[in-house]
Amino acid sequence: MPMKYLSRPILIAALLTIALSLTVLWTWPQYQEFQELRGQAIQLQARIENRDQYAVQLRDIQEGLQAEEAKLSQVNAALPDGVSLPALYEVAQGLAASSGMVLSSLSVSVGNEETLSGSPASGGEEGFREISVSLALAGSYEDLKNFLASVNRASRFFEVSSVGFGEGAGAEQEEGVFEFGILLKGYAL
Amino acid sequence: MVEFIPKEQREPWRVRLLFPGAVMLLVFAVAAAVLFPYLQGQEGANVAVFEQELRDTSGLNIREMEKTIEKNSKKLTGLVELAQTRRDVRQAFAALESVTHHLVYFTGTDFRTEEGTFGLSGRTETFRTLREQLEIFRAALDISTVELSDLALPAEGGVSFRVVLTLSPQVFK
Repeated sequence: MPMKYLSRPILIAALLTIALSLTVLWTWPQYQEFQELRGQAIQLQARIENRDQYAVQLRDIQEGLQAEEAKLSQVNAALPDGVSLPALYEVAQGLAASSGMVLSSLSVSVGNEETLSGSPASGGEEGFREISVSLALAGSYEDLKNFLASVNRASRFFEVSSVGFGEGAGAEQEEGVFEFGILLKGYAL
Repeated sequence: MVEFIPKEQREPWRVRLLFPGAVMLLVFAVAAAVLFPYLQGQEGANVAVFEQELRDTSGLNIREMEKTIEKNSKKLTGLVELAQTRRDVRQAFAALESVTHHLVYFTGTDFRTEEGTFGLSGRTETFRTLREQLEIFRAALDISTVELSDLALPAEGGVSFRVVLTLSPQVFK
């Protein structure tokens, strides 16, 4: 066999060795890195899509809420943001006046943030603040019943926590007029 | 036999097949060695763009929308919960009116909604009337317990007493 044909197998072996070495030592690691980046890119793209979808859903909900603006404002009136004492006094005075009672004193205490079931609001979570409104009101028994009805109808949410009148704290002032001590409980976010 | 004109020696078939194959393989290997770093660069750029896009949420106001929705939803569910559990105190007074003996006078009240209790200070002329009053209370469906205490005979006459009534929860519905 001539020399030229003898060198062909050696050349083939050399070419294969070079191709294999190149693939194993350079191309394969590059390919793996490429695959890793590709996977990362796909994941990021999916996250972006999910986020955009989530944003669209949030926007839809918000638009839905805006469409119910009237109802939402009623909810906000019942459970307002923050404890505004002047607004609270105004509501209490309005309730007393509308039921024919005279408001003689009023005191307010604001509790810590907690859930409505009474457990403390967990970290980061915004809880409701319980507002206790203690009222001293003068009026008749019928006025008291009107007052209780007004509390139930009021745009601001209140619960009657206790009602007291008696010979000590609330003696009869004039014929049929008593002084009642009423404790109301309201909430604010 | 001596060949006068020597013939060219033919390559063996394996060599003929393998040689172009090896060349092609090398070409592919070189092409791949160039291609993958290029693609890697492209994907790297994509990753950087996506990461930036994820970081940049300013146009979406997600946090703001979440806060608004969360607040409204909390208020709505809170209000429903409160409205469902709110006790109508007027009903308690109406129930008391319906079971008050016409000869008994209540002079003091201490009503506690959460406990559903009515602490009543009262006066009556005779023990008989008081007994009748207690019987009325005990017979009333809206009252679950009756506790009499502080029984006294005041100087001005009659009988003074204190009674604590526990109302049934359905009274407030």
